[in-house]
Amino acid sequence: MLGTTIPSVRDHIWKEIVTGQKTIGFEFLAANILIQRIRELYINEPSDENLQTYILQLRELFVRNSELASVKKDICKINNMEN
Amino acid sequence: MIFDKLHDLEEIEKKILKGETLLIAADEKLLKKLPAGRWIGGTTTYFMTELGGVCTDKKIFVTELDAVASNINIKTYDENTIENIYLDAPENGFSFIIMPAGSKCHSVFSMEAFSFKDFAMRPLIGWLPGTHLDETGVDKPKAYSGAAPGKSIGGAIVMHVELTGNKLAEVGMLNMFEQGGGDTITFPESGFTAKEAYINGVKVDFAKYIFENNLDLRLPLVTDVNGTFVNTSFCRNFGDDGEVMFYSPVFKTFEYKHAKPVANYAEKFTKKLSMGLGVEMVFSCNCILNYIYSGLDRYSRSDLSGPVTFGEIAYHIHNQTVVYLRIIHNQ
Repeated sequence: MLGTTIPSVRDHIWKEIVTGQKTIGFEFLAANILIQRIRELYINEPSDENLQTYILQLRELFVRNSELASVKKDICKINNMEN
Repeated sequence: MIFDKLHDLEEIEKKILKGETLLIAADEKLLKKLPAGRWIGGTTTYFMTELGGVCTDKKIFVTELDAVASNINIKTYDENTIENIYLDAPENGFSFIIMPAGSKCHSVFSMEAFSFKDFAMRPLIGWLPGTHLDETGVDKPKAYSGAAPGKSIGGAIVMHVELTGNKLAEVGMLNMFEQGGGDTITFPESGFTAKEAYINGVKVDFAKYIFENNLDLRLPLVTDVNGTFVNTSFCRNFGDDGEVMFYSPVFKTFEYKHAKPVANYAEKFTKKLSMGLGVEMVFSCNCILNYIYSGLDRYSRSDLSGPVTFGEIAYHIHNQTVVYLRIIHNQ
């Protein structure tokens, strides 16, 4: 997975971001705020169902804003982290 | 910054009557006189302009949106409906909110926005109105709208803006403050006030800690939100029970540090803008605390303009920051 293609929802990178196993400082303000929030929620109720919900929510944020230059850079960061 | 400047009342009345779509900032006595139309506005008498910092109750600051907006929807929210703000936002566009501090709506937004359905999924930007600093406690900050001219809004007024064609909205925040190297501060409860805090894990009377450590309350508390520094600013006054008061809530799950002093705020800000951020910027606003603490009233560069505000909103509430909206022409 390279460049500005958004990793699929099944990609392990999303789980690592949501659970805090991997930390990526994003340029996209909304992503940083949302990640902080969903990490807190996941720590409080760490179920598989919640994990899936938060992964979908975070990925959706990148999908909806994928045309922004800052988000493209962030998607590259995710892909570089993944490799 | 291509759209913004200070205008006389008559000029703005003409623009409104022509049907132009406007975001407005001015003293209350001017806002109250504006006719019905496609505008929302809030009270402030402080502005950053081409000429530097200006305080006036005789001019109106306007951001014109007709070049970028294809459709708008002006909507009022209260403490029961503000949770829908992200759901109501257009698919391709942005939402602009003006919300006076101290309302129940402001409290609910500040404390609970993280839990709103579709939080941060679409761009939300805006500001908190204020009054002339000499009138604090006498006048109240207010928001107005062209949908109900002459009447101030109790909760929040929002303009949901759909963008034309291939344009995209980007909301961001500039923070000149960074975490200092001092104690780690956490709070037992979230809220706009704190009687107690944990300093490096030890519970203390927070006001006593501030006095004993001579904390400069002009500098905010700063938390690290996944790499973005987010401020919470101190009110200079303490509560009746000696509780420390803030302009936006502290959260019990966040770790804070007192900010490092910023040696030359205006210069640092100019440097950030020179990195290309100012290109395609349609709106920005800067905090009143930066205006009075960081010398922006004496700032004379032309690359910063916008109302000076009493809280900034970029997805969530911010203090002592600049928030901005860029409209990008997608190739």
